[in-house]
Amino acid sequence: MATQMPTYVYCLVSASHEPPADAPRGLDGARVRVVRAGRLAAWTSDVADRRLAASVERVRAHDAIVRCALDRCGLEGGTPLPARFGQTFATDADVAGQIREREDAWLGALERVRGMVEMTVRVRLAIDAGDAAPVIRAEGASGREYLERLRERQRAERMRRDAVDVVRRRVGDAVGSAARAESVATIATPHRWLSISHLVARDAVPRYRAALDALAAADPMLRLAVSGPWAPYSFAEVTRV
Amino acid sequence: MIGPDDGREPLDDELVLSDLLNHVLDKGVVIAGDVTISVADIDLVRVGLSVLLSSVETQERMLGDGGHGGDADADIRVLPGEREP
Repeated sequence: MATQMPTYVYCLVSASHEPPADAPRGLDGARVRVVRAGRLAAWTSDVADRRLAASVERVRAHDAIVRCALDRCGLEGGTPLPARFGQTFATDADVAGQIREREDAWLGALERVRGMVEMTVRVRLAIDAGDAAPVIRAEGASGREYLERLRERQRAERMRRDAVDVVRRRVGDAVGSAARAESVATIATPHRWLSISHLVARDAVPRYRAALDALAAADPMLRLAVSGPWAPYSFAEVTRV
Repeated sequence: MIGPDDGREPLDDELVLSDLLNHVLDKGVVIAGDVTISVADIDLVRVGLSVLLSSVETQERMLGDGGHGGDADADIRVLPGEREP
């Protein structure tokens, strides 16, 4: 008797959205298939082991399937909810069961991102706030030295936050109504780069790009790079209740 | 980080790859429970997914390795990225 291999999940979509015949292969060359759960479906494939090692190739394969879903759902104005890398389940039934548990929440999330894509702009901050490790009193150091280091760290952190606020405002003002929602993260160590993701209507992407091109042209000191469209990775989460 | 933290500007390819890793590994819906992955490809770490890098550094400290390899097959939790308030 054949034993079912673990199931890997790429994204959630409306139940009617199936992978096209020419869909790319998934992780490790596996064929992508659908697991249905009520009004939803997951695009999935088999994996050999539930302990999944991340590699650049696998990350690319994951995103290729999500992009395929973005194109497929887009034909009907929809948008998939991309899954975070690395989610495996023992069986298809487990996948379906977990989705059904929060079916209404997922449907709500699908509706919120319907017709949208994610655009990401990275901006180099003008300051280097140094490393974010906690200040620890070194052996032999005086209390005064320790307090001075602590104050210096707090000052640097305030400068970094101020710089982040300025950049957020400038980018936000530039993209204006082209962006429906915003998600911000600092992604560098030390905190030199700011990553701002926006939820943008598909037909507003050219306007979004043009706005940021204009911002960069107006201020050559402002170092920024735009990527996208992505599936809405930063806007797909549903709060667990 | 985006590219090596040696003061030079990142290459376009590094930016693209860094964006890909940050989206796919650190974001997206979690259907059930926590996501646990392992890192077997050290190149993925070298290009600098900050959340993963911090996890690897923690792992290296725990192993007392102090180098760059660590135990590449060990499970590493992907920690949430630092978010601005």
